[in-house]
Amino acid sequence: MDNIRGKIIEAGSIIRFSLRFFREAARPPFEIKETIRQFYFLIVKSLPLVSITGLIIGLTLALQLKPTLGSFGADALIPSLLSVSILREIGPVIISLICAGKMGSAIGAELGSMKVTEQIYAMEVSAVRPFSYLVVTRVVAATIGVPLLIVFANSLALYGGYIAMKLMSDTNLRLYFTIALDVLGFDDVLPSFVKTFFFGFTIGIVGSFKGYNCSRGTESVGIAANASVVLASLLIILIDLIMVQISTLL
Amino acid sequence: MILKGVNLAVKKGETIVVLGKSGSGKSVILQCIIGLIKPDEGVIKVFGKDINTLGEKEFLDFRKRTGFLFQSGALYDSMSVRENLEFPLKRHYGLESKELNSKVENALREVGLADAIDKMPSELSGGMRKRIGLARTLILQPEILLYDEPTTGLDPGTSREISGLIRGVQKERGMTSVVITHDMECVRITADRIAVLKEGRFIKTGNYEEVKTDGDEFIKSFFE
Repeated sequence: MDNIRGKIIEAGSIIRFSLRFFREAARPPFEIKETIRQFYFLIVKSLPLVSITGLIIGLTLALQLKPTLGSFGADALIPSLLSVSILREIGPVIISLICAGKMGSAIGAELGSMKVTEQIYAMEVSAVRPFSYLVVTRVVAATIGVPLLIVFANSLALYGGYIAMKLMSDTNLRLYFTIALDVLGFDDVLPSFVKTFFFGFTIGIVGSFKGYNCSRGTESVGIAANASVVLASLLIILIDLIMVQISTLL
Repeated sequence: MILKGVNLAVKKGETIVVLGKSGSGKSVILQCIIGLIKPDEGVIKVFGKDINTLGEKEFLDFRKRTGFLFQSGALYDSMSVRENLEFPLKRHYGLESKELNSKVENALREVGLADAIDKMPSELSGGMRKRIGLARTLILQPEILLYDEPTTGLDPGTSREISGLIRGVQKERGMTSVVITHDMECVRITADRIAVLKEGRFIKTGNYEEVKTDGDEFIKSFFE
């Protein structure tokens, strides 16, 4: 019972923390330089991991689809099936989960260790607003950056699919992409792109919340990093479910 | 409840040392003064105003006028020493880089660490971190300085140096200071007045000699 009560209180605290983000994000000073720095550390440095993941997703999906669809003589459907499944669902969710692991833990651990070593208090007592400098910058970087990473990874996944097709049959690059992109409609691309902003925001806000509210002691830094990943991953899956329902209704 | 009916007035320009055992609530007093903790009851007046009734702008202004040196120095790990010192300056005053540079260099010279300007906090010893922390605090020209256990974890020689530095800064700038410590050498060097905290109350205030010659067993234990 206490556990459920604790979770409800935590959910309320995260909502309050998110509302504070919007209030602080709208107030000067705007920490543009720090936001760019965070964008570099969180997003640009995630490019290698996201690129490899994206490419492998496309490769393995195509390799898995080929024998199944091939037995029905439906090889020609592989590019369309790949593009719809990657762009609508697999790309955004898997890349967001990877980002939750990499960025969520990094944000949670960094802010957590800053809290434990009194660096956040040091900012507070020198009349600097740490929330604006530490939280707003990271959440903005994640909210803008994660969708870009997903678009990039999706492109590589489609290219990975092409590589697999090329290895298994003599497929033409132009033909492959024509079939793959031809099947995509506005309702495939837009809802899945919109939800990636929610995923990015979730990763940033959960990591920041866990780190910023870390209790004292080095053990709590590890707990904050771990809890950031677990909660952000769970929320990503929940948000995905809700967004799919909404886009189906619309 | 850690503090029970604490009553203390600090005169302008004096250095008062709060002396007490570990866990007696010494640090809580400082955190209440700077507004990191709100007391359950009672009033904390700084510059003649109750800090818990200040508006946001007034509160930030009060914090600009009050420096706080953390036990660990609390340097920002991801920034160099120069960036640590520039950080509060850039946000409060729109200074040009030449002026910024000269202020940083002067503050570091004051704490005797001009050479460390481009080092990262991880490259500094405990004593150096505290000195840099002090420089970062002094750079905003505070009128009041609060020191939380400034010599804890340092060897006797470095402790003496830090205590001397605190005294020197206080004399040169005429700042009001509150020092929390249980290091008696630090007390002897820095204190104009001592307030002894026991079980959440001040049981004695006076200068070094007055407190040293007190007959109370608890107070005597600090001087043995």
